[in-house]
Amino acid sequence: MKEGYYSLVLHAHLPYVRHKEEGRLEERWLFEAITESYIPLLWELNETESKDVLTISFSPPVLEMLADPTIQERYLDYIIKTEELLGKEKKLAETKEEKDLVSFYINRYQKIKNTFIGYNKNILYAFRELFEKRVITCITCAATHAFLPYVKTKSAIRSQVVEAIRCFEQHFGKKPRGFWLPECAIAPGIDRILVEEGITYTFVDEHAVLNAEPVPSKGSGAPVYSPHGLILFPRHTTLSSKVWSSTLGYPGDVDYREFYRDIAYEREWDYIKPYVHEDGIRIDTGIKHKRITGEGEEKAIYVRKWAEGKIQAHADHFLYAIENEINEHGDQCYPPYLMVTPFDAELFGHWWFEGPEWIGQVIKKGQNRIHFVTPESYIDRHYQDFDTSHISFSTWGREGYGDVWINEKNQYLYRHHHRMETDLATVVALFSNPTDLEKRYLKQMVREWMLAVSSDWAFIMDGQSAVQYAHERFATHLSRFDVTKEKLLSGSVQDEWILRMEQCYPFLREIDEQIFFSPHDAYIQTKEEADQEQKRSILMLSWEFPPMMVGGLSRHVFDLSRAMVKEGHEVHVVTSHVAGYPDYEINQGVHVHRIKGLQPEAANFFDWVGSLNIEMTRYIEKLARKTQFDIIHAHDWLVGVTATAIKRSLQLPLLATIHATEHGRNNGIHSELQYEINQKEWELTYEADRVIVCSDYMKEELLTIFSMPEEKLAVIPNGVDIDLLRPYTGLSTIENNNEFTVFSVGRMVKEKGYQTVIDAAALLKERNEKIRFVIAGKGPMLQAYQQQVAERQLDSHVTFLGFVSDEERNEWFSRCDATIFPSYYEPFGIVALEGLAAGKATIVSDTGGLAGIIRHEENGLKMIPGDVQSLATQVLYLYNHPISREALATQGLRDVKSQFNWETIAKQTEDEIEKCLFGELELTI
Amino acid sequence: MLIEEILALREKGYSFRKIAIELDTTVGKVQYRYQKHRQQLEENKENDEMNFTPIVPSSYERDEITLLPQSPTSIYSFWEISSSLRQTIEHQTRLQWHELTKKIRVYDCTMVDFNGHNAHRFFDIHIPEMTNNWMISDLEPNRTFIIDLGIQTRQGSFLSLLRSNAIDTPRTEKATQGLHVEAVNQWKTGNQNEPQWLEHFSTYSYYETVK
Repeated sequence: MKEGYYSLVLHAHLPYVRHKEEGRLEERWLFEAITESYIPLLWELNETESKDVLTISFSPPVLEMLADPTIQERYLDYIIKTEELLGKEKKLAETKEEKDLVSFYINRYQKIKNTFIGYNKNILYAFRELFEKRVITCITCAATHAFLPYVKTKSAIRSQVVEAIRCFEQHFGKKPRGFWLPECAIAPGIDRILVEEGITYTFVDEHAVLNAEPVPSKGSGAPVYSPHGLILFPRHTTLSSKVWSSTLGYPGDVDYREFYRDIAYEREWDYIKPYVHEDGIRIDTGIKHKRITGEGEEKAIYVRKWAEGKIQAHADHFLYAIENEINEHGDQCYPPYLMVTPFDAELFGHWWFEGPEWIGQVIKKGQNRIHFVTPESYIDRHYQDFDTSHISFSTWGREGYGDVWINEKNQYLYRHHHRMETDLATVVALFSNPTDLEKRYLKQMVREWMLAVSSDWAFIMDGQSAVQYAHERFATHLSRFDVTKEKLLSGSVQDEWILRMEQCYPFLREIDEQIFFSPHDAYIQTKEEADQEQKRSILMLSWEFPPMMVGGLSRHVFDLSRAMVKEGHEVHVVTSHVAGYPDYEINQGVHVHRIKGLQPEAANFFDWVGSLNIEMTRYIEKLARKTQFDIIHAHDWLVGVTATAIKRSLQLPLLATIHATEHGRNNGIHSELQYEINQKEWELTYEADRVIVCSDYMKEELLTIFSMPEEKLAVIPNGVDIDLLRPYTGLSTIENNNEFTVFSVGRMVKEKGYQTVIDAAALLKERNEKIRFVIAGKGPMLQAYQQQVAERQLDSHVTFLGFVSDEERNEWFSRCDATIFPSYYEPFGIVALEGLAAGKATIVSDTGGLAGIIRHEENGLKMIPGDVQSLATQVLYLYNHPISREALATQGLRDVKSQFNWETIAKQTEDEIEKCLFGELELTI
Repeated sequence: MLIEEILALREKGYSFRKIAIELDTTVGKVQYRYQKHRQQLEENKENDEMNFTPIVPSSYERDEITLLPQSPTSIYSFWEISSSLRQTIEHQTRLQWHELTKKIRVYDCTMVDFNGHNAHRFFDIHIPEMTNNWMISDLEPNRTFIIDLGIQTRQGSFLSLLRSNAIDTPRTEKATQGLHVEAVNQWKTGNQNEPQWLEHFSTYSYYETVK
């Protein structure tokens, strides 16, 4: 036994065309829909005794306009005026056919008026009655018919859904189970929001289901569940085309009324003038005297009897087509074969004049021939039998996708739509505790956004008529949105002003603007405001920060930031992303933000830095929405671009610390990359209000290379955290013998001077001295050094450990007899300080910052940079004079504790910050 | 009795009574007409205040690039670049913005957790000056795309400035590829918090970088 069900679905929608002033042309769209579609449809539905014959979706704009007393009065005027015109037509009619036709219209308008007044001018009551009697099912669609796949944020989609449901509930007394997706436009994720808001089903175009994954077992013969559990009813293309096909559809029949021959265009101007537009434009009166007749321009008079005959024939034909489909597919089970034909409601009556009567006849004649069903009843019976599939973006429009709503004529809209959405999220976050008045401004903004994003505007722009109106309406709501926002942000909120705004377009009295308040922003607002006692809020920029340790910079920034926190400042360090570490953490009081550039694996280091700086800038500009910074403290050129950008955009003073220069590192500028880096260094020192360097040596270097004004520079030595150098107290992991050991740690790069150590070791080996060098650290030269040691058979005298952990390094500091730092170039030499802090006699190159830290034979020893003999001499001195060695070590430790501790440095840095903030002058007063 | 006549006489300093005599009517009528006129002026003024000249800005001071699906083979992109970002790029590259070659790079990121370097493939489109949107066509259906707007550096490399949201091109025919079949089955088991396919909407929060 073959079985099949048929479901007719209508979608009633018009944009919100209610204007404050009377007589707007576009208001007629609604009047025509009421006259030709909604009321005639009511007549047909009131005739039937059956249940479940039809599902109608009413869009919120239609609901709001039909229930609007002003619109109702204007509509009544419109009908009365048309009746007046018909009175004149009666006198004009000559032939019998003409007279019959005029009296048909007179009777019809009388009936329309009676129906309208009979329902107290609100025809929604009639539909509600039918809904309550279960003759029809009513549902709704997005609040202003937004094209949901082109809405940017979840909150905005949710707003369109929630406000529509609320509006529907107000007019129908209960929530809808179904939801019409504007233009049947769906994309993955929309289903989730609808289900979350309590919606059970919707309608999609047939190809959405045919192309679903996995392929549904019933094809388009049954609905499917979307992944989030929304039931999707596919449109039955074959049956639908019987009505809407422009060439073969029923509405094109020769005996039906011709849409384009309104008497407005055929009568004398003086005759018709009072019934068309005030401004002297001929617009449809709704009175049309011709039938389609044929292809030619010459049209014959409309004959009701003939049209009525065709309605019967076409209803029969349609039922026959349904039976045919059942014959073909009716073996399907379970669920049984279902055919759903969704149409625009206004197609019936407005476009196809006889459409409502055809629907009436299909229902009447079909009662004994086919099974009518509503989606809701079908779901209740068969919900266990549907497949689940992934649906991709699709619509019921031209080509089946987005061609109508995004093309050269209307694509500009979306930039503004999306901007309004993010603005809404912004204002609700900014006004998280709004006053009643502010709340009305927020709600008005939501309202204007809604009216601006109606898919109607894009649709009209795609077509031929009323294009100008669509552009204007969009621009109007965008501007009203912006003006409301400006007033709100500038704090000039006024009861009268917002009242007038609300009255212009009284759409949706209740609106929940809080839907735009993101959960994250809500969370941020609940956090306590920053401690007021903090002195300064410092934005520290450094490309490296623990655990990322390329050179000494990372440790420096780590120690300085902690020391500044101890001094009572709020410190935010913005640094680069490290895999496996949090994007944000509070580490010993320091806020650490780790940023990933868009191209974290850029082949070119300079691009990598650029990519990092772009992202850092973007991040900080957003961070500053909540955190008020007082100053930027940038470390080295790698963050210079961000520092400069933030200085400009947030209008903050900039303090820079230059740890080293490209010129110094390479003893000049020799390559294109070096030139670029040199430029960046210069730019940073130029942009900075003040510049800190770690030694007099570096000060000289900057003065020479960048021709900096001396008064902009300050020397603050680096510090060392003695606590961090405490040796590991557990089991020793390193070998432990009594050999005299000289330890060093540093990056394996040329300028650190370890070549001198290797050469000196060879010399000492020749002399048979029992002295051994242990060197920790990684870098590009490591392999070459290790290879050299092996080739020259110096294993007994030099060991390159490569990378070691902090614990292991500390053990070596503790275990060794002396430390050595043989750099050719060393702006400061923090590791030498660590040697001193470990309480070991320290040998340094007489260069750069190292030269300033060590006073020869007082707190350590100096060697000539790169001089093998000099190095060997100093090592041998320490080896042979244990008492002097001890004395040098003791003095070294004392110096570190007094001069190079972080508290002192933090206080000096604080002074520099204050100078940046208030300038030198004020401080010297 | 024309309001213009009343106004002209008021202008001359006539009292309402005198105007009434002059125009052969009653004082009440003149006053009524005059008040009505004043009211009308007030109303017009009010209307004017609410009647803003609609302004649709041509661009915004924002940094953002967006993709929307148009058809199985085309996606629409539009973007905003703030003057602040332009300056930053000028600083980074030491070139004027108008001297820089702008490009969009279209990445096929189907079923990939994109990190900037791991797309299945990509191609570049040269973007003319003063352009803030582009229809990207001839794409493959049923794929996921992300685009970057970037510039060409002095060294010839592509430096990304903005990254878009991800968008799927829709399927066109019976889903023979079965890309999402496993994901749907997995999701149906209920053991996953988030589905493995792309959902087309962003969550936006104003304080997004504040933790």
